[in-house]
Amino acid sequence: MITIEKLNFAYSKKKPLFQDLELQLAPGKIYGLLGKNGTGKSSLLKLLTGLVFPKSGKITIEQFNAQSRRPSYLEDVFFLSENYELPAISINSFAKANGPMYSKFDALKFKSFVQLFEVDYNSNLEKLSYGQRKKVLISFAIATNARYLFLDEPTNGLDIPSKSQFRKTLLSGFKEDQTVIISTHQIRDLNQLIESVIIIENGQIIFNKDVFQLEEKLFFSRSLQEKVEGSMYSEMMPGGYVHVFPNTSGEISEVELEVLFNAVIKNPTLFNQQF
Amino acid sequence: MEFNLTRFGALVKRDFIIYKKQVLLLMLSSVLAVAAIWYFTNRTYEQEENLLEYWMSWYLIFLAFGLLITAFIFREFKSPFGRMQYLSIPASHLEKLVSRWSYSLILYPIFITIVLFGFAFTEVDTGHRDYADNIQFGKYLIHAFILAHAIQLIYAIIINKNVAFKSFILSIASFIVTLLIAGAIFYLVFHEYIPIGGLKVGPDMNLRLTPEAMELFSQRLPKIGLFIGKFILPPYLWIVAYFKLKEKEV
Repeated sequence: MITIEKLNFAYSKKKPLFQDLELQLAPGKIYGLLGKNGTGKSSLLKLLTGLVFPKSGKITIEQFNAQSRRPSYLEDVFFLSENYELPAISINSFAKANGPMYSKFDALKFKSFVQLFEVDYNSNLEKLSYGQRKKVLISFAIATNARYLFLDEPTNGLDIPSKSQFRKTLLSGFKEDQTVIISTHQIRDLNQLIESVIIIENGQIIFNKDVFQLEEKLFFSRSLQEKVEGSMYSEMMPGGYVHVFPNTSGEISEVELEVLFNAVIKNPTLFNQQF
Repeated sequence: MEFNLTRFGALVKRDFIIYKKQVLLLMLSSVLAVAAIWYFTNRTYEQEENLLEYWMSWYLIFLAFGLLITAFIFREFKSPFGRMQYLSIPASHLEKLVSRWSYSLILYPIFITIVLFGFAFTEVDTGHRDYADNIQFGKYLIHAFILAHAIQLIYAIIINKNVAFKSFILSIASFIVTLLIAGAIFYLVFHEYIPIGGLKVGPDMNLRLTPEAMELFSQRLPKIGLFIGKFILPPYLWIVAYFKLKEKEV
């Protein structure tokens, strides 16, 4: 369980990023952390990893205080940042160097994931492209079997087949006691992966719902008409308009995350009232 | 504070795998530097003098190289991504600090001393007088290096970029400031005991004090100062370095 209580955080005194932020995340889910640029998605992941410290408030993950960066906590956490530096060594050496730091690291799993991403296991990290290096890091992150995976824009730089491979790889390695938080702008890449949606705006969590709740309470439909009676929000998409309605019939529709995000940002109170 | 030997071993192995090229390059340049000193001192001076020159140059190289290595010992901190990766490695702050501390304070001096002795033994009899004298001087050097290393280690943790340059400037600035403050305090306390014609410092200190007080200031206090510098200050600074690493953010 991840618990954030009264979290205040700022990079500069004049511009606070989070003010009295509260959040609880249960294990066994893949969370999608959504927000506009600069709203603090990456900072929240860094706070959870203990890489930056809150000005006040508390972040506890199980019995650990993230800020203390205890080894027993860090070996159960893997933070994949959007950008990274990798040493000029082979993938095999990278596994030999970093794998033993994680007690649950599975070297065979790592190798098979790298190969599934079609990256040569013997190649030197320095000679790989940005996307290929990201594939190696995603493979490593999953192979650590860490209970908390914090992935910042994991599909950035991945080609189309690799995005699908990323979803498959993540799901194949996912266990019930794990918590995965994916911060992303590329919502469509993760539409079928995310089980819970968290939206950050103005230093606050303005929306935090499970996908099954969204399916139960909201109904997404497409039409050629711009305005449809009873619609809470409408947005033009290729091929027409997507409308969001309160789900009164109990019929299940596919949650369109991009539309949901825009809808919630526009009127968070209206959408929260539905739950 | 946590320290697990297995994890420490894994951390050292990790560093070696990642930085083996840099380590080999550093070892090679150390050998070349000592060889260059040896060659040039041999060419310029006679045996007695060149030995002294050799040792003095070596001391300089030993200190300069050692402090330079220490400045780069947390080279991951250069970029935010490097900091993220290093700080999130599942090892305790103590294990991370001790690993880098031991490379720069234990392994480096051992290696460079072996290189130095390797060269020195090619021409010098071990019973040579200068050799023994210089070994004695080397003890002071080791203490000076331990203290300077402890300060540099803190700089290496708190400064992210251009550590060597910034730490050099900071060291000079803090040395001057400390000297000025110490001078001002000394003057405030002792100005009425300073004789007309000015103050002499060192063993011939001419403050108008009682012989007991003079003995205290010229003999005992320097010894206490030396003791603090040798045995109290370095461990204190290592503890400061530990807390600085613990407080380090991306």
